Amino acid sequence: MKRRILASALLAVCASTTAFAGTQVLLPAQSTDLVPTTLLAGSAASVPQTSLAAARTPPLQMERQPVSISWALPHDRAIQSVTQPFTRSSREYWMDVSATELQRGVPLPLTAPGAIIRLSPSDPVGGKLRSSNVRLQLGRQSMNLSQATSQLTDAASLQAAGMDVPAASMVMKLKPELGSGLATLQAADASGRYVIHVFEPESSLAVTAQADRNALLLGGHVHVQVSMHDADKDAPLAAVGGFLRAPDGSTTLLDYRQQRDGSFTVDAQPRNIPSALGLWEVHTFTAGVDANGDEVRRDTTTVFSAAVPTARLSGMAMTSAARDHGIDINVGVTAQSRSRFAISAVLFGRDVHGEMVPAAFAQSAAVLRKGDSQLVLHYDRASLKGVTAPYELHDLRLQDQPALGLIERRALAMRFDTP
Amino acid sequence: MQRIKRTLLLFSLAVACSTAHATVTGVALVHGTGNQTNAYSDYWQADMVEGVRNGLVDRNNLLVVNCDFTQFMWDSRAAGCLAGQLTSFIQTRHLDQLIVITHSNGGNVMRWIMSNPTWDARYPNIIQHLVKVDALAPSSAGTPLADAVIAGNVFESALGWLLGYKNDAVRQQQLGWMATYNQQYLLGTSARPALPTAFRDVVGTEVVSGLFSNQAYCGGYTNSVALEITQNWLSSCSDGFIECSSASAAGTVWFRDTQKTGGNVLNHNQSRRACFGLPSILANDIKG
Repeated sequence: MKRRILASALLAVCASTTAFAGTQVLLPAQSTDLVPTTLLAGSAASVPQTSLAAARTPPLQMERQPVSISWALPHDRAIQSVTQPFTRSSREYWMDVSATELQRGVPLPLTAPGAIIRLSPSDPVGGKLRSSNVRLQLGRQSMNLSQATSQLTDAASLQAAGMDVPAASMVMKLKPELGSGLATLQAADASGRYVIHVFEPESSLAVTAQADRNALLLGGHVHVQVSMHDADKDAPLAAVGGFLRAPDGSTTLLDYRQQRDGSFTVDAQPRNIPSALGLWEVHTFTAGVDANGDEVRRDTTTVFSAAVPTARLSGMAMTSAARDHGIDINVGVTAQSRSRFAISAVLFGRDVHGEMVPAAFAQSAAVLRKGDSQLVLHYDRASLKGVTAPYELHDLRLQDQPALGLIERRALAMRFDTP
Repeated sequence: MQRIKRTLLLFSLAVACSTAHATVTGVALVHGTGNQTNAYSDYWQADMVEGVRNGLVDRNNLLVVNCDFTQFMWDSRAAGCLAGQLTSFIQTRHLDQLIVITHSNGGNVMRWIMSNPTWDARYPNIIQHLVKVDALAPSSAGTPLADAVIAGNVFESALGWLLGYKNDAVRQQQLGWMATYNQQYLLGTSARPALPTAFRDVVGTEVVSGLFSNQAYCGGYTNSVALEITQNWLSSCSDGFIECSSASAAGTVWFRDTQKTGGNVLNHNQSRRACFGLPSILANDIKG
């Protein structure tokens, strides 16, 4: 891939050549676009006052210099400007149990042979267990772990493999010949609290939690549909609960509603955006029954980002021929509070076969004050090799960098013939 | 007249040849998850590092990065630290071009720099010098093992407990998190814009831990056994920590282990060790 990079402090904030400039109005937003309707001021925490050089070890430092860059893209590599939420089928569940419960015996519904069970202390005083003191009962069989498992390993081995489990954890894989059903896990020397993680890779029963989006702005919500499947058939869920977890670890209980088709739905809405960076999670815990009427437990997690709409695209842009015979696109940005904002987009052009193809990617960022400003996407001449007008601007994004917030995204933002 | 022209041309070529300098290439080794202070010994080990060094004309042009990759990739202690060490390396060794070799989550931190060049004014200069990234077993789409560990942690969060193993780098490598970051902040995966520089994956496809298999012993037999156990959480094609689909999710696949290792597989530990000719493969690639 040919690479052309321009990094210039001067190019990022307006003041670019406007020779042959053409004023453009952004195309109407599509239903799948992310567009702020009202703007809110960002928290003070999102705009650190220390300089990059002066700051020592804060988790996040805000760059001060404007930076702009672009590079050519392969014309034959398709780019999808509409993002899809991630979905994964779950064949696992977790339980939080006390020492008393574990001493007495914790019932674990198993729907398939060969389950993998992890037992980990979940508090600082969590007791170390001796595997010889752990027993498993399944049906009429009561066994120690050497009889019940085909694989058994400790925390040190798991950590050596890169699995970051707590000290004193153990993982066991049950012998397939034991079958399935209601098992009971018992540890006579348990103390403190424990997490039990049951994973059933061979089970035909899986739960999915499908979100309708993977990014939202404060005030919006994510709609999640939770359903269970037995192979390729729908299976009914008996009960579903869960909570919304913010990046700072705070949680809010969620109220799931049962649907006629046996699935459950919930709308998860962040009430505020904490300064801690990271993603939001909907943790869903389900219970159902299989075709034999036996209990099925599954947990699943749905992930999305949420941001304070501290700025938006003004809707106006100006295209112009750049001094290096490339293309400059001045994109209007309206900010509600001072921060460092970044825009990026993929420029499409017509290739020799008359097809619209991705030509180049550009990104530009600068600290903007409250009010109206511009950021310039600069596509240098070399990165436009092999394409001509008409042009299209795809996947236009606006980000509040210190907040790690995606605040606007347009799948198709502009069409223009000449810069 | 023709003779004078020819003489002048030969003289010009001679001057040009005497003043032109060979391209100065440097190699940086970037570790995976963990807070490293001596990655040379603790993460890569001497045989691997010195084997890679054999590919360099100037053997001093090798950097073993030490950063805190228990943090989120964008953190100043992760990508910020990496950018600082790479920038200093480029400057002090007067490098014309840089080759970066990453392992595991180190690929994500490097991809953060390549995908978000406006985040930090040092990033564009690194990208300008970068000719390729050789990503050994990169966790580009995360790993189910991160989900397995972190998901159980919701109970502790709900109870207000913060366990000692709270680790943002592990949190980040959950499948859903990487899928979201790949769509929102990282480039190079399917249907996303390409990275500015080649990002080439080395994919481990299996774990061998049989007592009588030579493959199981390189890098430590106990590690191979442990990776065989963690494989239970993973799909049939994995190196015991990363599924093949994750290792090949960003950039392009350079090779799957057996294609260049004489039929041996590289488990997740072996892909950072001097196993099955891996250092020579990397050194020869550096030589071009």
